[in-house]
This record gives sequence, C-alpha cells and structure tokens, in this order.
Amino acid sequence: MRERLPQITQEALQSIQIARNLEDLKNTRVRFLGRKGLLTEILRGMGNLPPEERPLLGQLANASRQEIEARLSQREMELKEEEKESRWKREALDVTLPGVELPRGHKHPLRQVWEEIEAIFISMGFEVAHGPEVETDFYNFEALNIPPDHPARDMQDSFFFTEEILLRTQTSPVQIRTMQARAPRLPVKIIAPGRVYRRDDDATHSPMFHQVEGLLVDTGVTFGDLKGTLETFARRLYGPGTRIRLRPSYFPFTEPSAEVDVSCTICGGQGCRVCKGTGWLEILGTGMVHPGVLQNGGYDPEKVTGFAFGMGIERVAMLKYGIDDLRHFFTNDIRFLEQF
Amino acid sequence: MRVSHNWLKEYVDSDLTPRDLAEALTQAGVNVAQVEKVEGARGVVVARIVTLRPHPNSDRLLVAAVSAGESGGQVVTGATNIKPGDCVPWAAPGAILPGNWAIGTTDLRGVRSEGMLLSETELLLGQPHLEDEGILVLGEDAVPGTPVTPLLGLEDHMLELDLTPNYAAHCQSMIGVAREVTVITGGKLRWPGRAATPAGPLPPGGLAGKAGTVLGTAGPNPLFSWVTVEVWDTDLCPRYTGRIISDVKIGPSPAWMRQRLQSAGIRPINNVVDVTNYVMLELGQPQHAFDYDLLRQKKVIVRRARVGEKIRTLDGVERTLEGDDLVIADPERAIGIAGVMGGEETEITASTRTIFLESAYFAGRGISRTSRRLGLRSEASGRFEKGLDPNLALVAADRAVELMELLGAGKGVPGVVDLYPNPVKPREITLRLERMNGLLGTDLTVEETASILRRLGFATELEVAGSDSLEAPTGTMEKGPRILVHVPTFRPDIEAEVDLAEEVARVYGFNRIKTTLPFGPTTSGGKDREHQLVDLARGELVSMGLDEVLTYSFIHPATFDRLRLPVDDLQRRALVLSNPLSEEQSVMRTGLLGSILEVMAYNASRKNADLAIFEIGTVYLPVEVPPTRQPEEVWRLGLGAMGNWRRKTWREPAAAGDFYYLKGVLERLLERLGLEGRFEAGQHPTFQPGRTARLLVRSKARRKAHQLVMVGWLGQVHPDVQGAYDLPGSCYLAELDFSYLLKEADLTRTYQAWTRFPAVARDLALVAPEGVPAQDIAEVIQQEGGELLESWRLFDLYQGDPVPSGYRSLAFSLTYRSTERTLTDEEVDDRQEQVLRRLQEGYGVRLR
Repeated sequence: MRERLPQITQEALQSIQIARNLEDLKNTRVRFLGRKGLLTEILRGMGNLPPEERPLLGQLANASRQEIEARLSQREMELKEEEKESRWKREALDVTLPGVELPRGHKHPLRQVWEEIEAIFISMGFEVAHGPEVETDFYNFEALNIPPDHPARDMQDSFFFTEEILLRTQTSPVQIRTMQARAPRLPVKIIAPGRVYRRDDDATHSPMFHQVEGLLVDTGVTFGDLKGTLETFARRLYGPGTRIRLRPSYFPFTEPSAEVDVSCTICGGQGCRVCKGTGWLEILGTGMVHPGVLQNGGYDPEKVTGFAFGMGIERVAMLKYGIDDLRHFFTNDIRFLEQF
Repeated sequence: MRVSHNWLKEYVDSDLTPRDLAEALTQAGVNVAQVEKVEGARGVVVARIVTLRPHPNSDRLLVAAVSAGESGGQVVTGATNIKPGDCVPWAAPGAILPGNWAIGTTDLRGVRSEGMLLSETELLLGQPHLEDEGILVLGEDAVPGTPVTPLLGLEDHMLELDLTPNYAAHCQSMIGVAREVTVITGGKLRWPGRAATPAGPLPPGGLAGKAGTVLGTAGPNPLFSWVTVEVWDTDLCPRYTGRIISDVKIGPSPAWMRQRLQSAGIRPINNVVDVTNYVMLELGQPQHAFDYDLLRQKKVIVRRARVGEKIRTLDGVERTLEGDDLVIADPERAIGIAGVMGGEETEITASTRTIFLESAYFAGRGISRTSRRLGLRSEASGRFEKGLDPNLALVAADRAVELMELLGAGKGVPGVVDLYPNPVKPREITLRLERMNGLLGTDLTVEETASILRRLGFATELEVAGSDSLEAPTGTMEKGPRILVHVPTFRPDIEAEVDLAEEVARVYGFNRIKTTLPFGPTTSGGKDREHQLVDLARGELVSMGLDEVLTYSFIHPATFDRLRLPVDDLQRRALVLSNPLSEEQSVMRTGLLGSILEVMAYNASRKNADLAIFEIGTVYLPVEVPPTRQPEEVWRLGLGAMGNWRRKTWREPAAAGDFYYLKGVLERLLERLGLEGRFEAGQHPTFQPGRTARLLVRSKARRKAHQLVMVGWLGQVHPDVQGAYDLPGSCYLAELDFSYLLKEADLTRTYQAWTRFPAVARDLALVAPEGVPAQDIAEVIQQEGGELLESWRLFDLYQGDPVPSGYRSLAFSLTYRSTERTLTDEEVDDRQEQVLRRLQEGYGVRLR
C-alpha cells in the first residue's frame, strides 16, 4: 500500500496534466478522488493496516490528496482560461464589417439655416412673427413708403394677381402688420422669416426665395443699437472673430439705410474667391425705421424710434455651405439634400 | 454709370488712388461696384524720326526711319505733317491698340513697314486713320523709347457706379460725383468753363416765346425772331430752355471727346450730338438738338400727345403714342418724345446748318411712364426718371454752346428761350440736433454737424433753442439747438429732417458710430405654438429617415390634369398670376401632391431611385376668384416614397417605401402629436383604386367628445398619374390638412405607473374571408379584450396552401394583464372565446 501511493499520485498528476478539457478533468477527479476513486480506496484500506503505520500513511495519503486537489484546481483554471480563449476566437467579429444603416433624414439646408437664425434672435429676446405671402399693395408697398411710380418698385419686380393683390416682394409687410397689432405697446421686437417672390430667374435669382425680417421699435433705439444687435448676430452665426461693416444704402422704409458686410467667412478677411478679394461679404440690408413707416404702424415717430433689417436666407446658406447655384434649393435633388 | 478717373480729376483734386477713392465713395453711399484699369494702347513708344524719304513705289507714301532709345526701325506712312526730328507715337510690332487691334510687320508696296506711326484717333480709339488727320506730334518733353501712354495720361481707371435711387439724381454726372469727392477730401469743386457766347442777363421769370399758355416776361430777346416756344403742359414740363446755334459745320468730334463718350458707353455720332451727350455726362442734363431748318413755322410746342399719334424715333421705329405721353412738336407734327428720344424727321444730318438746342426739365414720373410703356429706355429718360435739378437746364445749354464753339461746330446765337413759370427754390428744413443724435446714437456738436452739411453744399443757419422764428414741430425733443438747412435744388431727394440725419451719418461715417446694445425691459422671445409644432413634426419626420424638401408655391396649371382631378374639383379653384415668368409657375398651389410628384420625377430622371420625402408647406385657397381679398394660407403636409426606404445590406433585406411604410410614418407622427388616426379604404382620382386610404383623425385626449375628421389621403399613385410625371416603378403619396392637425395636436403626457401583476400572453391564429379588413378584426379583439387586454399585435399574415382560397390567415399575439390581480387562465380563456365567437358570428372568421 505504501508503495502504491506514490504510484497513484504520480498517475493522478499525469492524468491531470494531460486533461484536454474540463470533462477530462472531471473524470480524473472521479477516478482518483471520487467515492470509488483510487486514492479514496487507499484511505479506506487503511483500516487493515497495523495501527502504528496508520498515522504515517494517513499523512502521506493526505499530502497526496492535497497535491492532487491543488493541481486539479490549478488545471481547472487553466482549462477554463483556455476554453474562454477558444470561445473568444470562435465568437470573434469582423469589426470592420459596416454597421447597421439606420435611416437618416435631412432637414432642408435652408430650413437648417433658418432655424439657426431664429434661435439666435430668440435668445436675444425677439419673437418670431408671420404674415401672409399673398399681400395687398398697401402692406407690400404703400405703407412702406413706396407709392405708385416709386423707383423702388422697379427694384423689386412683382408678381400680381390683380392691381391690388400680389405676392409679397419682401417680408417687410410683417413690420406694418405687427406694429398695427401691437400699437401702442412697446417694445415691438420681432423677426419675421418667410417666403418672398420677385420676377427674376437665373443662377443668382429665384422667383421665390426666403427672407428674415427684423424689427425693434422702442423709445431711444439708436443706429448704434442696430450695429450692436447685428454684430452680436453675426458673431453668433459666423464665429466670435467676425467683424461687420456698414455701407450707406437705400431702402424706402428706412433712413438712414445701410448694407451690412461681414468679414469673409471663408478667408477671414484676407481676400479670396468667395469674397472676390474684398475680404467682405454682403449679407443684409438694414436701417432706422422711417418716420412714415412708424406712423403707418400706429406709432408716433416723435416718441419712438426703431431699426429694421432683412436678409436672404439663401444667401446665408450659400455662404455657409459653399453652394454655388441658387436653383439647387428648389430642385431638391436628394444628392444635394443628403449632404446637410 | 461709368466714371473715368482721369476725367473726374478735371473737376476735383484728389490724392487718393482710384481704388481708395472708390472705397471712400462706397463708404459714403456712392456705391462703386467695380474699378477697372484701362491701359489704352499697349506697346506704343515715343520715337524720333531720323530720316524721311520717298517710297520707291508710291508718290503718296513716305518711308521713315525712327529711333526709340535702344530700338528703332523703318515705318511706311502716308502722313504729310511730320519732319525729321519730330517725336511721334510709334506702335512697334507687337503693340496692341484699343479694340484689340494688333500691330505687326507688313509689306507696303514692296517696302517693309515695322509697325506704324499713329494719329491721335488711332492712339485713343484704335480706329483706322481718318482722312486729314496727321500723325500726333508729341511735345518737347517726350523721351524716345519711353511708353507713350503715361505721357498722354492714357492710363485710366473706370469706376463703375451702382447707384441707389436716392443718390441717382445727383450722382449721374461727372460734376455730381466730383461733388461727392469734395465731401470726402474737403477739396474744391472746379466747375467747367462758362459759355463763350453767353445767353446774356435774364429778366426775372426767364424769356419766352410769343404765344402760348405759359409765358415769361417778354423782353428784348434776340431769339425772338428765330423761334417761338409754347409749353402747353407745364405739369409734365416745368421748365423748357432752348438756344440756337448757327453756322453749323457737322463733322466728327475730336478724338478726346469720342474717347470719353465711348468709355462711358455712349457711341460717338457727330460733333453736335456728341456735345449734347458730353454735357449730359458732365453735368447730368440731357439735351436734344433739332435741325432748325426742318422745324415747320419755326415754332416748338411742348404738349401731350394725341391718342394714336405716331412718330418715327431716331432708332427708325414708328411709335404710337397715348394721351399721357409728352411730345415736342411743331405746329404740324410731333418731332420728339420728350425726354426719351428725338424724332427721325428733324435729326441732325451732315447738311444741318442751324440747330435748335433743347435743354429742359421734364417731370420724372411722366417720362418713366412713357419709356416703360414704349419699352424705350435711354440715357436721357433714365436721368429724367431719377429727378434732375431744374435749375441746371440753362447752365447746361450754355455749356453745350461753349463746347460747340470750342469744337468749331457752330456759333451760339445770343439769347435764350426759358419757360420756367414756377422756379424751384432751395427747400428749408430744420434739423434738431438732439433728435439727430438720438436717432444715430452719436454725440455730434452743432459745429460738426453744420460743417458736414456745408461740405455737402447745403447752406446752414443756427437756430437758437427757444427761438420763435420757426414754428416748433409738434412732439418731444424740443430742447437743444436747431439748424436751419437750405437744401440745394440738385438734391431733390432731401425732403425731411431724417434725410439730413442720414446725410450727416454717411459723411461722418457709419462705421465711426459707436456700437451699443439696445436697453429696455427684458423680452422673452420665442415662437407661437403653431410654428413650434411645425418644427416638432419636421424633426419627427426627419428622425424617421425622410428628407425635407422645399418647392415653389406656384405650379403649372396642367398639374390638375396630371393629377386626374375632375373638372369641377375644388382644388382647381386657384389663384392665377397675371404676370407669371412662365406657365410652369403661373398658378398658386392648392395642394402639395403635384409638388411632391415633381420632386420625385426630377430625382427619378437622375437615377435617384430610392427616396422618402416630405414638405410641410403653405397652400393658397382663394376665398373668391378673381380675388378682391387675400386667400386663406393653410398648412399642408405632403409625403412621397419610391424605391426602398432601406437598402439591402449584408445583414438585412431591402425594405420598400410603399403604402405601409408611409402609413407607418403617418401613424408615428400622429402618435407624437397626440392624435388618434383611422385609415379607411377610399377613392381619389390621383390614386390607384383599391390602394387608396382616407385618413380620419381626432384628438386622443378628447376622443370621447370628438368625431373623427377627414384630414387627408394616402395611396399608391395612379398609373396614369405616374405616366404623366414619367415616373417608373411604384410611387406612394400622402397629403394631410396640417393646419387641422396643428389645431388638434396635444402634447400633454401624464405618467402612468405599471403594475407588478404578471401578464398572460396568448396567440390567436385566425382564418378570415379575404374581404374582412384587418382593422375590423382588431376592433373586435380590442372591444372583447376590454380593460384586460394590454396590447395586441398582428405578427403574421398568410395566404395560400393550406389556407383555402378566398381566405387568409392572420395571427395575432395578445397580452392580457390586470392592474389589480394575477389573471387566471379561465378569465383569459373566457375573453379569447368571446373574441372568437364574435368574429365567427360577425365576420365568418374561425380559428385556424
């Protein structure tokens, strides 16, 4: 018996060593340490030994058992680890396969720019106002200081339904409608985005396009305030380093009137193809609301002043995205829409 | 208007480069669109004539040997005004003259000629030699071998002005632009020379002809015996002046004048016509020269045209006039359309001996009306339209006479016709300093303000505060100094105080005004519910994968036919533009289907086969046709799908953008808007029969109190409609009354706790006759399942063996749950049986 113990131990350890998987290992455990296992049997057979030999053999057998147990659990860990490794291999993904194509829609680029402009002015306390696109001569022209035969009517060739009813050529009629609805409450602080129409059609003119109008009427509003408001807007839209510059211009419903240029969004003012080397891009028209217009809106020009501005959303979008042909906006080629 | 920088310098000194000047003018409101460098002749150098010998094969030609510094050559010339030692312009081979006339080496009757010697005309205009004009002999300071152009000041810059209407009146002339330059530089304006034969001192009110409705004071007028002028319509012609030029010799005007006219875009004609055009460019006053000898009865009448009266204008076109047109006439016929174009019959010709020169002030509105109606725009009409200085007419007439005498074109006869019954005087406007500073946000003093105004040519007087010499305007801001401003008549655009404030601001400099932010009560900003909901819906649709489109508000009238709408369909009641650009864009849309189809057709034609799009846009529903009121503008939602909304990938099959795709999109949108929708089979001419649904909607929150309302259509596009739009494959469309959806939308949501009791899941596999709509079965399931039915889903639909023909199999999975207890199998079985019983009795549906 004493001589068999090392032999069995040796056998067990070998068997553990060569176990290929957990199943093998389990069988090994049963074969040596199970109820009918070889080592168990030795321990069981100890009763037949003379009592003086028992402690020594018991010691040896326990030592064997401990070693086998230790090797078993060590081997078990190894095999589990191997098994994981092989699972990792088995289940490995080609991570370079394309991901699931989730459907993705696109807001129209004009609407994206439109929302951006709205958000900037809303954060500055402007309300968004609207008015009809089919307008009367009064709101589109007369109330804005453009009587019949005024040269400004040439600047904006209009689409008519009757002599009195036409498609608005500008969002400015919303100024009058809003003032009339609000007078005499102050301040009037609105922007009015929407469609406008002029009889022009080429790469730089569309018979229908979009404008955003702005109007602030209050006591003590100055030309300086106009500059500050538009400068804030330009910096929010084009980035903090943006500069603006004003050039005198003419609109019948503002005085003084100005065109506003921003430092070129492409070259930052160095001069490039987009700004035609000037370093400046024209983006909007503005001015102090003409006293006659305030009066038509129901306000006393001796008591309040105001500024107004208007910009073409297409123009802003073209500069922002580098779009070179206005017509893309309305042909809606999805290869165009899906770029934004 | 194109302004030559060199020419401009005749009227004002300026140290600014052309580009800096353009920039400064633009900053002051005189918009210079472009500065173009004009080099004139290139490669022309000063050459000294060394020898001059006869041409061996010609009596009239000479051969000149020239030296030009280090180079030199031999040139054949026909000129007789040169001698050895003279310095002349030599266009060496390789030179390019104006008009892209390239010079090379040629052979003239057997003698080599290297380039050519130039006359003034050739040098300035690049035109071939004129009969008697000799070679231009240069002055003592010419250095052989150096370029000629700087010497003669031929390098120039053209400033292209793009004037706004308010500046158009006073800046459409060299003198006007020069005046603006003096405002910038503080320099002095040099007015061009005075008449060689002045009209003489004028009696007050001017001089007039013998008869007519309007006469000035009669006086000793030397012109009296020459011509009689009557103005019958002073509303259209507030001032008419005329002079007579005798001893006229018609010929070309000198090269310098022709070059200036050409550079400004005006074609030179002859010395007389060129002078009138030159004066127009110089001073801004259009003029017209009539052949005096062709004037019948030596009488000029300015009157309204007779209706249907005809005149052949200078361009050879016969024009028919109307009663509001103003004509210049003699007693027998119209001889010109006032301010627009002269008549052919009294045109200046080579045989003209005497001229009647008109320099008048016509009312802008009348000229504008006539030129617009006739489609005849001229340099003259453009200037009248924008408004002239009425006090310029006579000055300009004298200037024209001076130039004609200078050119030897004729002699001015002393005396003048001047019909000017109501002379225009400078306007007086009070400028309140505090009002101006309050408007601009500036802090300008009286002195600064007055100095700016004086630079602009305005006379100023200081009004002390509280002075009663002026009637105080009503309102506030009466404190502080006031300036009484006399507005010169060349500034008809300055009408009110605010115009003066603008003048001060632009000269002071917009960019020097301090930038501030408005102060006042805080305002919340934001947008109304309607537009918030539109944005929400757009976001929802985009998140589902649809692309947003924007289409024109106007459509082709044939759209209604293409959509197969019956003749009496309400959608055909649309607003029609009276002046559309094209038929394609002539009718205001009353629906979105046509617009969506056009986008689909455009994309299909470009092989963009897969597409799912939407537009939330306005349609225009007339209250009456033709309109006397504005139409209703309402929101519509249009949807379109074709091809696949999901393409086949390595992982997933393709998913078609079909009826059920669009229906799913709509269902999810309605859910987001808090609306309950119901689709029912329907019929619509644009959609394929049997594949068309009407959509009915009501608010979920108020479902009990509200009826379902029809809001739109969904379906597969009718094959004939697809044909009309040239669309391949199958296309699906939907259109909804979005205004109604906006009105009914309800975004409120209330939290609902979920229960801890377990759910019981059951499947229900049914076989139903084909004609039974799935929705009817689902409704029975919902009704009988009652409050215990938590949810249901149709998870399979099958037709074919072993399901008998005429039937289809529908498999539902149902989830039952109570919020109060654990359900027993018996309870659930009971419900299932009730569902089945009702389906069997009502629809012939049985368990599979």
